[in-house]
Amino acid sequence: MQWRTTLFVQKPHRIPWWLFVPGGLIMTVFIVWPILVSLYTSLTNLNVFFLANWMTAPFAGFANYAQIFNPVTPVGHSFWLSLGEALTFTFSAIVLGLPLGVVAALAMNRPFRGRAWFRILFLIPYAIPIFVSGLVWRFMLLQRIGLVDRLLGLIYAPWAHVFWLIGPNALISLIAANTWSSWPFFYLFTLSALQSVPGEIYDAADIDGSSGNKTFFAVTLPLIVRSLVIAGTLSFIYHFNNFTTPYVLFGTTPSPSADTLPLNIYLFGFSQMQFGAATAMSILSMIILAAPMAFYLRAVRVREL
Amino acid sequence: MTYLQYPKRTLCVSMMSATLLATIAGCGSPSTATGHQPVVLHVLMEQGNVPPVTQKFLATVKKEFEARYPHIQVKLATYPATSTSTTLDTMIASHHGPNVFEIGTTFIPTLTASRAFVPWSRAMLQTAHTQELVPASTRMDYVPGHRPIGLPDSAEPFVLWYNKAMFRAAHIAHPPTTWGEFIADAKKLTHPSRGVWGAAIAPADPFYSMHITWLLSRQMGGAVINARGTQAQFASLKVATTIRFYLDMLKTFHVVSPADVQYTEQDMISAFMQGKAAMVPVGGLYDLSQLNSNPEFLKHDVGAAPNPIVPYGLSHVPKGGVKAESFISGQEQVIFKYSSSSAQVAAATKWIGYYDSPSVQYQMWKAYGALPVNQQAYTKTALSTPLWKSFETIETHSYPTPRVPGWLTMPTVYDKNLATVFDDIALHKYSPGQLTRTLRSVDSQINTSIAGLKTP
Repeated sequence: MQWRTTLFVQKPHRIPWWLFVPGGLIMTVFIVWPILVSLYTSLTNLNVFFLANWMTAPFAGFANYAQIFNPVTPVGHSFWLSLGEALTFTFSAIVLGLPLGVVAALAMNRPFRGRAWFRILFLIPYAIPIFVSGLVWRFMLLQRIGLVDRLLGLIYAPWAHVFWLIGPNALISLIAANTWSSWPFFYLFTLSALQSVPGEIYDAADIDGSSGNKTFFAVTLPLIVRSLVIAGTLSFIYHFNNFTTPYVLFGTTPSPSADTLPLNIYLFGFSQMQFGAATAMSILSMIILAAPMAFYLRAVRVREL
Repeated sequence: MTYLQYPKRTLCVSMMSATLLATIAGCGSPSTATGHQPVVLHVLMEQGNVPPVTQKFLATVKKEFEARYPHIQVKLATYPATSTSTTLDTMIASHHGPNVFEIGTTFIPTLTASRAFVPWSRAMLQTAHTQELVPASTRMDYVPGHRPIGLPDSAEPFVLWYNKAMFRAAHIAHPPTTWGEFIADAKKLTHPSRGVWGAAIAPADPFYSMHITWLLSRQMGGAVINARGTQAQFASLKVATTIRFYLDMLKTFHVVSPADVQYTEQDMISAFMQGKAAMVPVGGLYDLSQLNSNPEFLKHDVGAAPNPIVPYGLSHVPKGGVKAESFISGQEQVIFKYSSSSAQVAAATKWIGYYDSPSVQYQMWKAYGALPVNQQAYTKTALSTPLWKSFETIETHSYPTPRVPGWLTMPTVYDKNLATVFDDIALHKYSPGQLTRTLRSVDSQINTSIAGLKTP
């Protein structure tokens, strides 16, 4: 086989490149090509009427981006508002979920009777499909008929009969529902990091007279902090793109306080049929996420080295 | 290179070519009805409120249809209503999809403008016996100036459902015929301390406020969009007046619960079924399980009446107003152009015609209570009762929503903005002039959307 001889024997330094070809082709078809199509779409006025021949959609240049960057236009106003909500939602999810996960992981890292049951229990919120948990939260938070309102009314709490799904409280509800279903992610990440810490280090700290909080802050935290940073970064990427929870909780008529970017993009794209503007928003969303993604890749690479 | 390698390579290439050809031939075979090969017809139907019931009914229809037309093989699938837009967009963008697609009437203007669906010729309409259909139900099959692109398979007009037991207890003899009576009756039926309200609405639902507003506006003589479909007119005097009345149900008359601002149609129906609201103007309550066997439904002795047609504060429909009891609503079956051969188009016409036949329409009603669109179906004894006859009457007094390409963009913008106004009323944050500002903003947003909706 002459070609084999040419490829693998005469030019062995090229072998890695040839091995890269199948993976590279798959990446091109499934990742690079859709991104290129999205970029092109964002420069057009693509709507449902041109979908059949989307290449013929009227070319708009940077008009969609100009609209988005101008907060006075309906598209721009909507974009900046939803971007702010998405960032608030994302940071809240991390700020609330991370400590919960760490505390739970620390508790589960020590052996005690019934630990296996608690470990299963802690994973349940994470195992329930978000669509289902979102629906359950929606029913619980309905004013007057929801479980939360009834319980608060029962104990004469000052927040009884408050609207949880509309107005400024909608964001609080979204964060609460999301934290409930996503904190086990931090728990799992932290627990695996804790279990990789050698026991000898704790023994040495013990001998040195360290205990409790001091051991945690001086020994444990420095050893797991990189895992926590990676978990936080992954969580940022996930929550910033979280469409399901707000969609299930509020549908297509969200309060302005809970109108997050993915939901807004969906409404522009599939309800208002402005695929061009919606894609331009998606591209900007992707650019915003490039920073945490780069940070994540760097963190993982440093770890691998 | 050995001598044996040539045969090997030749063999490999031959096998690959044969496989490829077989695959292509396999894909293409359903499109061509040659010899004894059956025409394969792919049908994608909406799965309905109770998917197993829908699937069981569809399986029966498929079996009967295939027995009648042995040369047609039907492959059925269902999809959830929540994914209508994504399913439709994917079909059009990829040029791949079923031959027959069931979709809500509200999408017809959009589908027409997309040019991805087969326009029905006179011969096709004759094959499908369209003359037997309730005439009003076919008014959403087409956009004026274009050929129809589908036929209705079920109707779902907006009806005023009311709780007869609550009406009797409040000494109200009959359901209201004017919106003034509606408010007067609702006030009598409202008991906030008991958690009981005269009516219920669903401002958080994706289409509800738009439908109510369209109905009230037509009765008043207003239009939410101009005839050419280029300018939204929510801030116009007549439309704004009707929207103010809709808001006043909560703000001024206090006949609906403040909790309604968070309701979807399902929440609203649930409140009605639990006896917490005496009246609900809504479409989809025909489900047989609710009407004929749901104990809650029977307990409250539920009745259905046409929606009032005289605007609030008036004694008759004003000049230019329309006696619209409902908008035309229901499901349509359309034929997808890109994946259908001529043989499949012919088979699809037969399928849709068969689906609209009196016997299948009657079976459909028996299975899950969907309203038939075939007039003959209403001659069956079970459908001759005053309740079901009244639905047929309401359907005949229904009018089409604007049949312009931009129509589909309007509910999202309008309902989202109006929901915020409702929220502010419930939270006691509503300020004078807020509605006017909101409606002007709605017009501006919709006009921007429509301006961007260029058609090929």
